[in-house]
Amino acid sequence: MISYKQILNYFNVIPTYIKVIFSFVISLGLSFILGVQDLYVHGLLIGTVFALGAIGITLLYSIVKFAHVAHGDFMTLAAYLAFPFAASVIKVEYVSYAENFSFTGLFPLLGLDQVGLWIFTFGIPTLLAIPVAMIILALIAVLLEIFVYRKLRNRGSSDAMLAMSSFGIAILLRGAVQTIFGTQLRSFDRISKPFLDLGLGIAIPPDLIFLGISAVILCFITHYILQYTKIGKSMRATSDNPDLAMVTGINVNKVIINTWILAACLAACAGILVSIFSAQFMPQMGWKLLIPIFAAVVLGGVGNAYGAFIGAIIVGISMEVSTEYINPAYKLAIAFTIMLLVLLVKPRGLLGGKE
Amino acid sequence: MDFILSIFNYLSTYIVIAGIYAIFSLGLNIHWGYTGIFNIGISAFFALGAYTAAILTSSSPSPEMFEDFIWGGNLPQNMGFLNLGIDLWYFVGMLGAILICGIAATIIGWITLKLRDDYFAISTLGLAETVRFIFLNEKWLANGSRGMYRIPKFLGEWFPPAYYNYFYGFFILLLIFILYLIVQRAINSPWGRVLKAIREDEIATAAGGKNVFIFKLQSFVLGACIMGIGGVVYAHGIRYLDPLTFDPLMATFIIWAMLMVGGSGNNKGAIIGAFIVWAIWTWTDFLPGFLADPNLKFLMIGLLITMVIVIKPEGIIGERKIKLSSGKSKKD
Repeated sequence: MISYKQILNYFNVIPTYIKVIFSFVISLGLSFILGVQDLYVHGLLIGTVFALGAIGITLLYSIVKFAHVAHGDFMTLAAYLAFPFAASVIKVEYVSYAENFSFTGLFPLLGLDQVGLWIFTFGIPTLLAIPVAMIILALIAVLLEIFVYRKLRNRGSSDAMLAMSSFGIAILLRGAVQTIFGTQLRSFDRISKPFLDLGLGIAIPPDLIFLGISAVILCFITHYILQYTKIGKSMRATSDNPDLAMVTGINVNKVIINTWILAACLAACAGILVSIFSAQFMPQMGWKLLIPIFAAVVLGGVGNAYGAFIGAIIVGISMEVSTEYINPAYKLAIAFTIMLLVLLVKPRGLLGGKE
Repeated sequence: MDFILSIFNYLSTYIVIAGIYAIFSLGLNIHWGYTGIFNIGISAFFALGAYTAAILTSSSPSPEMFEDFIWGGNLPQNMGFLNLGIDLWYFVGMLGAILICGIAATIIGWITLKLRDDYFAISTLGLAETVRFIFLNEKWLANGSRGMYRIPKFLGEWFPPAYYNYFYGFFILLLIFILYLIVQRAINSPWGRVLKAIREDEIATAAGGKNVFIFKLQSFVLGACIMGIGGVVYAHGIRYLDPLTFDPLMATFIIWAMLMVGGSGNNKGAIIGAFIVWAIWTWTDFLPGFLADPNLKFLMIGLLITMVIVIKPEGIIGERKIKLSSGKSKKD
């Protein structure tokens, strides 16, 4: 007789990537049978942008050992950092420090005010603003690391205390955004474009394709950095064993700064991509993204960058597909529930994370 | 004379609201100050407590005015035998709130307290958002975004409306005192010492033969119940609830700032912090122009939490150091 446990052992021998591809194909087929293939593809592409945030959080976790709660507000901040560069008219209304005023963004001022690039709704200025926001956000992240987190770490504060301080910084960043720009909805310059019909009953907004493709490219760049460059190798060494890494001559502080830069760049891209796709952004945007992103991190196994990517895809797909069956207002609750269910079965996440 | 009276009226309102926050701060102190549980979903228990009390004690809505809101409770009138002249319904609502918060905390804690502290935090955040979405979307339960109003006062017939806040403020101070004694008693017991040990070193505590998970769960449930009581006091004091009441700033962040400023790990600090931060929060309304901007207050709360952690992590009143007897026992 073969026991249940033995069957499970045979199952464990199968390489992870085969399991992942297998479950992807099965679920895609299932979505066609249930007639939700449209939502499935939507969720798949939105999931890739969650992955950008989730990879950043999980990398930070594996290097600096705390949950970076301010990651969502990093995303909001990135959108607001890109805004004065990309938008052609920036109205600042109902703020307490000045009368209502408006000004033209930097790139439109220089003559770049195109919208509706190719099949997409946005134009060159928005694209150019992405690297600018990445650089500024990375700078802010490094400053926060030097003036807040490093001080706390050197004092020997607990991990929860560090997470708590990032929570304070999250509120601080959001407060700063609200004070400077006000709380109303904002959007980058755009013109409406029809959905693209991909056949097989799938129609998606063109921006979603851009979002998915650029997110996947960024994930591959991250994979390349982690696996093949010296920066990435020293990051992985530090994550495995910081003391051993230090003994072998790796400057751990430098590794930590590199990690912050990488995570902040990914967060900046995610924030701007989300605000392009949803055609609007507001100060609460990042805080709301925090739940699906952390769900993805925990789902894939905390500290595991590849797990975070797969977790994000699962969260994205299940959030979108769920709208077919239940009230779309409960999307976030779905992400949360899936996280709880997976934790009940596999407390260390699907791909197995760190302790 | 009128001026003095208006000042007293203002102070009584101040005490009511700061007092309500002090109750939450006490609950949070059990989580963070003593056990090291990182709960950023205070608003979940706030909302559960407040809505439970409001639903149990409000009279049923008239079908002409509301289409979706069909709660037919009106327990105080239908079950008159509990109406002994004193408002027992207030306490029935409170018990209900404690029960609901306890159950919710047990379920969430059971699943997620095995995780690391900071990832547990995300689960509490998820719980808070889920609870808010439920009250926002299930209109039959709590009238959705239009909110519940005319929640009955506690002993409302006994005091004229103009002086009601004096009574309620006094009642809240009494409640804080009782809760303070309960929490103080719990923390100074062997049970409380285990919690502190867990906060300091979880692995060592487990090695000492304590079931860390069960102790954390008990602490989480106790703190959640106290937060539920805070919700009840809020519902009957403000008498209006809608999902916007429970947005993260006013229902979670500000309470964290209160605890951090007052001093986590000290119940007196938790209470005093609530009064200080609420004073800063409301009294900056009187500042001119730019400084009274509500968005700036948001920034200030974040700055306050970060600064306290970086500069003075123990807060105004830090945790009292336990004096170890230096080898001399009472016998010699």
